[in-house]
Amino acid sequence: MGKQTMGFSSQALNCRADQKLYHLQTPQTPIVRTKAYEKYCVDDYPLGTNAIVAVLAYSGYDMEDAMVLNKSSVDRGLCHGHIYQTETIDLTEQSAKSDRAQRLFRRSNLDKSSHQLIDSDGLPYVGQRINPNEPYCTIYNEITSQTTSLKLKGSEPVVVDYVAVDVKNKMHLQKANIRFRKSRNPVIGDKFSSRHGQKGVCSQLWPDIDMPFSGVTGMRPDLIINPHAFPSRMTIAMLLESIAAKGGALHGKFVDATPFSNTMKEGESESSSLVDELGSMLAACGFNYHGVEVLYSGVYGTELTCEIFIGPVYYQRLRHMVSDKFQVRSTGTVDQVTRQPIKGRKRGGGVRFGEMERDSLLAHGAAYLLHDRLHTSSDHHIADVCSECGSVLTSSLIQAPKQAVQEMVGLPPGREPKKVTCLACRSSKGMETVAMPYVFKYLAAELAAMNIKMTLKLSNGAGA
Amino acid sequence: MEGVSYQRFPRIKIREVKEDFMKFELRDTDASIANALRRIMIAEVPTIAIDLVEIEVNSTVLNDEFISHRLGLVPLTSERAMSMRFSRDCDACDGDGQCEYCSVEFYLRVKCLTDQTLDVTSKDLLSSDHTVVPVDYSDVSSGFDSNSTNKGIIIVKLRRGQELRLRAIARKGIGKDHAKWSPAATVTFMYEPEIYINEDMMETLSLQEKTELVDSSPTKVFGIDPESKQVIVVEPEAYTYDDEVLKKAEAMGKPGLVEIHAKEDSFIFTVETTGAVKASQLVLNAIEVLKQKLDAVRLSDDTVEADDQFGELGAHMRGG
Ligand SMILES: [Zn+2]
Ligand SMILES: [Zn+2]
Repeated sequence: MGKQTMGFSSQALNCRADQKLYHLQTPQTPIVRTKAYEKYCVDDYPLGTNAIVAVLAYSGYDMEDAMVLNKSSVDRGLCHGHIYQTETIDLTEQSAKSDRAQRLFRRSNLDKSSHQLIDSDGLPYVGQRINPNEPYCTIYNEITSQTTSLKLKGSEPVVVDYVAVDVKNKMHLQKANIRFRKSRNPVIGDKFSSRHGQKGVCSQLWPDIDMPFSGVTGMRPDLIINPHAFPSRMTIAMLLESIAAKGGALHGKFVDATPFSNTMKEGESESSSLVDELGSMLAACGFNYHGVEVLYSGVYGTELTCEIFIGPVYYQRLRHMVSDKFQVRSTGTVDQVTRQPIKGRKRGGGVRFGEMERDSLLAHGAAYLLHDRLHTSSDHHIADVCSECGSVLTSSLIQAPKQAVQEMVGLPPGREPKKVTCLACRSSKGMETVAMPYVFKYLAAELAAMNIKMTLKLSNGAGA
Repeated sequence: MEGVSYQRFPRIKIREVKEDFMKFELRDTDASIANALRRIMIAEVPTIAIDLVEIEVNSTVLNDEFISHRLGLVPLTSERAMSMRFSRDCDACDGDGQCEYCSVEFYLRVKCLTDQTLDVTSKDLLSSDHTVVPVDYSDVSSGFDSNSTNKGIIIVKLRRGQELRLRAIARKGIGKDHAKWSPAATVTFMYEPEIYINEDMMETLSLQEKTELVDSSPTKVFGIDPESKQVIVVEPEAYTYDDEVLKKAEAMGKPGLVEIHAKEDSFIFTVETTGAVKASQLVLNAIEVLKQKLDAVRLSDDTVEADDQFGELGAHMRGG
């Protein structure tokens, strides 16, 4: 239940030093709940919010399991959260690895620039905001008498939430836990889910005034989901939750939703179904029996053609957030061996354009684009190939003797053509330049290591 | 198109006015005006709200961001907001946003010294300007439970030894930028319904059928006259356009028994405010903002570009 959700996972947050802890700022208790929920006191660890959910296709931004959040609701604190991250610094561990040098936390008196961030004990101020690549802690090495600082990794600013020191060691301070806090308020791309597995990604923070509104109550939904999320998944329970929670909210009561049990009160007629019970709760308060309401377009002020199914549903914020996942690369580091862009978000790598992606471009006949992605923007290389022996590996650069004449005349050193020669043929006669992916050259080298020779037959392309 | 006028003369009839609540009718205009008014009341009438918080000491259980966010949402009395400057176009402080023309300073200094839990509330916010203070709900005559000791909006609770000390800057803003600047709690309008009962057809129903018909509406729109036993319209505005009665009539095999139409040019507005401005003032301010917006369009009407840009619309605006 709580595995992927951002919730209220601990009552003793201030004393904890978890590696990474997701925390919801203002959780609520669900209106619709089971007996087990109460039995196990889940209310002490709530993990969601009762959001007013409207089921309609409104802006087009709710297609394909996306959902539209009301910007004003988010402004007011809907699903706001934090990440707590703890950094443990153990100096005894560090010194054991290398020399027997005595290290301790101390601030450098020479470098005044860090004084704004770091206190005299070498640890950060609680409540201080630290930007990426700024130091948060300085360590002094007594033997080399050098100060090193630990810099903040990542790409977003953090706030120092808490600093805990280990004073078991009677000597100098050797161990400290520094807890950072990052704000994680809902943004486009964050993932949310109801308790019925209806997960979706926020696609827009829609202005409140553009949201549909009820003419009677003036309510605007916190969240809009698309009706297409229901037929194939058959999560009837979510619809029932919406009706039940609406009735519960109107009557100021929690609604019991324990499965395999009769929720109907004893003595009541057996024929009445759950739906009847929930529907009459709504009707008693002057609402539609089926949970639908007439809504008006927030943009035009005219009545929407259909009646809209709207009601509170307990929504959870899931811990998959774009700010932890987005990848961007224009140019950057390349692999040493293949000269292709590296992978990995942390290292500034790219997203792989794999076989299936290649296939789709082929199917579209987008040859130029394919060439651009797989060659020009990847490991484009101009190799020297010997047309005599067909080898890519035997070319060698001739170190042209520095021409003293040119220097004396004072002419700018003009780009003279590279002199290359084939070591196998001992001649530079047949040398040609061929554009190819660098991995191809690497392949030739690997094959050569296995005693397989690769020969290229060069032609000018006009006739083979 | 010259000479054709679309000008109308909308009328407002006020039904009910309280400090933070207002109900009025808007007639002889169309949905565009009604909705414009609603949108402006929610998102574009300026108020004052805390926008910048400098925390000096915070040893409370809530973190700095949490407290700042809560402070921002505290409604402040904003009668002055219409005449105040936005910090971004204030000449006096070069957009610094800390001068008297565009900002109000607040201080909050609380420390708990006893064993009893201390509530930090909006009443602990000390303003530098007596016209801009947190909204006091205790003297609002309507709605609120005044006999309970009103202590303002709770911000955080302190235990012994915990302290909160901060300086806050409140600025003018609009709800479009952040919901904390929205003066409206609820603004909504409905079209006024016109309900016709086909008396002749109604006569063919038995009393039981009549009761069924009346009860089919979730809201109390219809009733049965205790003497004549006829179906009468009790409260037409309780109708929510749910079509339940029409469906019932259809199911009884009597389509056309009841006919309901929405009047296209009559609206019933309900306005509730957060207390930042009075409900009546909110409506007036909204009309003022709407006028300013129209003026901005009209100002550019003598230029050639504007003519091109607006085409026929420009001609309407000039010709009236
Ligand atoms: Zn060769
Ligand atoms: Zn200013």
